[in-house]
Amino acid sequence: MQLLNMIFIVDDDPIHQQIANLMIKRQGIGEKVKAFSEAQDALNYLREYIYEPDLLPDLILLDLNMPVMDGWDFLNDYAGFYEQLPKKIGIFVLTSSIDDSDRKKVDDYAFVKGYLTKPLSSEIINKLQAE
Amino acid sequence: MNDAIINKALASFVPALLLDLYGNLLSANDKARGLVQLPGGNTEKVHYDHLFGERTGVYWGALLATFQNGLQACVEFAGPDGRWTAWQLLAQDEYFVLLGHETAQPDKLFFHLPLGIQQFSVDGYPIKSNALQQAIWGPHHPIFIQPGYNILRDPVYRQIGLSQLFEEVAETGRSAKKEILLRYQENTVGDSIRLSPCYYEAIVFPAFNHQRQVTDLYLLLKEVTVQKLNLMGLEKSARLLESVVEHLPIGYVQFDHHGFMRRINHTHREFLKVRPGFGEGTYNIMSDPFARMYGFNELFMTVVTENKMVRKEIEVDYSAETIFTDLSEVRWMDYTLFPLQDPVNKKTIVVALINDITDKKLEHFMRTELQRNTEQLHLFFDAVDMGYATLERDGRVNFINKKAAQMAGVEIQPGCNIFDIIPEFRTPSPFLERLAQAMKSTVSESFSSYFYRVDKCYDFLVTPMRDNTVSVFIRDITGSRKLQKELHRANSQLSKLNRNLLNQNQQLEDFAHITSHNLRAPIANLKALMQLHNHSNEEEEKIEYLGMLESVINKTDETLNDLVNVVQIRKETDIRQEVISFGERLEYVSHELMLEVNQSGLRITTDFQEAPMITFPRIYLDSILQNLITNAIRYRRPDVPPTLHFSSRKEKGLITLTAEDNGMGIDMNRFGSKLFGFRKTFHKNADAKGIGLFITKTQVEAMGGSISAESRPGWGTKFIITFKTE
Repeated sequence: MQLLNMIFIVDDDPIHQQIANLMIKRQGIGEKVKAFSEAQDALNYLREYIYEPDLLPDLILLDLNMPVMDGWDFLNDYAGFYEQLPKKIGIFVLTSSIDDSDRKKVDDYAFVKGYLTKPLSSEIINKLQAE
Repeated sequence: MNDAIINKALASFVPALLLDLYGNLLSANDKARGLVQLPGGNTEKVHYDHLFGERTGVYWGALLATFQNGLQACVEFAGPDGRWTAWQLLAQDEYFVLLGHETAQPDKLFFHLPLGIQQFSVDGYPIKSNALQQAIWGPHHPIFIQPGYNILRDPVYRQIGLSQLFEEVAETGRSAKKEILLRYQENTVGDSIRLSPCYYEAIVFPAFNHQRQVTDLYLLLKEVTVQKLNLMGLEKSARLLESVVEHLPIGYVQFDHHGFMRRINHTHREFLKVRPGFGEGTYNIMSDPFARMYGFNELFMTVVTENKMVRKEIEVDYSAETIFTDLSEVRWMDYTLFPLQDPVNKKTIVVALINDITDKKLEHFMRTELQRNTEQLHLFFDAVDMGYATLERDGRVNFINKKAAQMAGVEIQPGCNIFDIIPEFRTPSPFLERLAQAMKSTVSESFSSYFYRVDKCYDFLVTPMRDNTVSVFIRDITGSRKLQKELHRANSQLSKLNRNLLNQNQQLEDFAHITSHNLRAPIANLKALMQLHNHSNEEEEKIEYLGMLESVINKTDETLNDLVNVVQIRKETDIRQEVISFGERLEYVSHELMLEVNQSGLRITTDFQEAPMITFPRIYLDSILQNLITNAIRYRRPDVPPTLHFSSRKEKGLITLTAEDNGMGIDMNRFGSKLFGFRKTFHKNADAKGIGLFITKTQVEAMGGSISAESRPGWGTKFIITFKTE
């Protein structure tokens, strides 16, 4: 099993950030976990290191319901530049929303690999690993 | 012998006058001068006509002609002493002598006859005439002045038959008379001369000698113009009467005392198409079978015996009569029979005036039928449960049924004008305008109106008719209108309920969304932490997880409390509302937030002049004002002194409250739809929980109002709250 170099957690909930961090590390699927409370900060990072594949994440766990810039805004912005990225980044929506409309809306973004509902569990992490 | 006489006469033994061929007096002896009253004894330029012609009517030409025709040429006249002298014309060489001798007034009667009389020879030469006759002819008539004049040869008198009268008398020896138009008299009327005819009765009678031979003819002329004109007038009247009777527009039939028809006028002949050969004098009303069949004989007898007029209308079938008429039709006839007295034999004659009244009868029948139909129609319209009236365009009522009169609430008689009789119609109103417009229209128009006086609602249908009148149908729709109102009210309530349901549904959806996003997240965290806790063997780790669990639980509690607040607001739609002052409440809230306001330096300004008061739950308004002030402080721009301006307006019956700050503003394109969402924040502000505007919106909407915002990043935000007014 390949160890992921870097995983981004984009979520405004600090408790969730901690939980995700712990679980990822406990499952041992990634070396580095980077958490962003503001989606805009995550986008800024990606843009900043767009030509440095080593510094770019392999996986992004993206929350939808966030203040200022929410998950949808992130995806819309990301759609504008992801093709320029030097490597493929797996994006998973990780949200507490069980709303079907959200689930369907995510399908509009081809680069999003999956729709996951909180809480983050070892089963989900295993699934991520498999993907 | 003549010579001797003349010579003797001229020697003054007898009165004698000497004349030339032309009648000029050449000389006169003394005796003659005295008798003819020769003026001044001078014979120069004296003519026979002056001396004799003008006195006797026998002028020189006539006298000479008589003489030359071998007749005795003699004139007579009375001298100044009244004595009559006869003057006989004799010839002396180329001269002529008049010898006078006294006569025993043998022609006195002749000259004093009150009629015009004139003596003629048997062969038509005039001999003498009296003054009246001279006046009748006129002094210049050829009979006096034309030498050799002969009345038998006068073309004028031959034409009128006078000459022939003379010839007849001369031949038969019997007197004869004739009315002749002798001449025309000139009458001056104003500037014009009018000719009027002068009629005379001419009587010619003969004079005989002892051998019963006609020696002379005498003409008597008597003016009969007046009688003649009267007679002509009578004849004219008679002819006119005849013509009138013949061409009367009705039939005229005259019967004698015995019932024989004596006259039938042209009109009735034409009407009956009388067959040729059917004539007066043969038909008898008493015996004719057709007349008897219809009782005309009895009518005739009634008129004759009772001497009174009778009148009867009879339906006659002329097809039953085949003798005198070809009229094979049934006709209604009006017979008027009345008696007259024959002016000659004084017997009663009967006149029948006959008028064809078939058309009149038909019209009467039609009118009766029409009237019956109209009455039936009126009965029908009285029976229907709908107001009906026919009106002239100016509002005059031709017919109005009972229902319409009852609906109007006043007595309306045909002939009156509805605009006068119904008080509502006197004053201009939308109803009156619509009615007047419909009355002028060429197509049917309908409209409804409420009548305050009778508290009824009527539906009108005004239909123009072909005869330029209008038919008005009136339906009482008060019941259906009430029903409609109730239905409308129920509909409104239903709509309101529906709106509430929709609102509640929306709120439910919102709540589901909130629970999905805002409650499920901490639960998921709890679940994850519990999993971590349970799978951990490290005590320290477990303590750390428990600490995190507490934090999550606290946050969940906080979220739940917020949601409970919101639910409470939405539930309390019947919360007490009161009339409160924007100014007073703002002052109160500002005082509560005095610390924050002072620390931030927020300058609050107001303009509540237009709408100073509002009926609203006081605690809600306080909460709204508090949130708006807090927002203005929280999202102020660091580089400018913060301001917040409150104003209230009244627009279209609604009261609005506007709060405009000069803060950071919001990108409405990005966040507009989420601005009033639960737990939505748009700035990196640690104090922001994203609940204030959500609560504000909930409170406003719970009271039936609405809230919106206008904003630009870097310029500030303007919140507009529209309150529902009662």
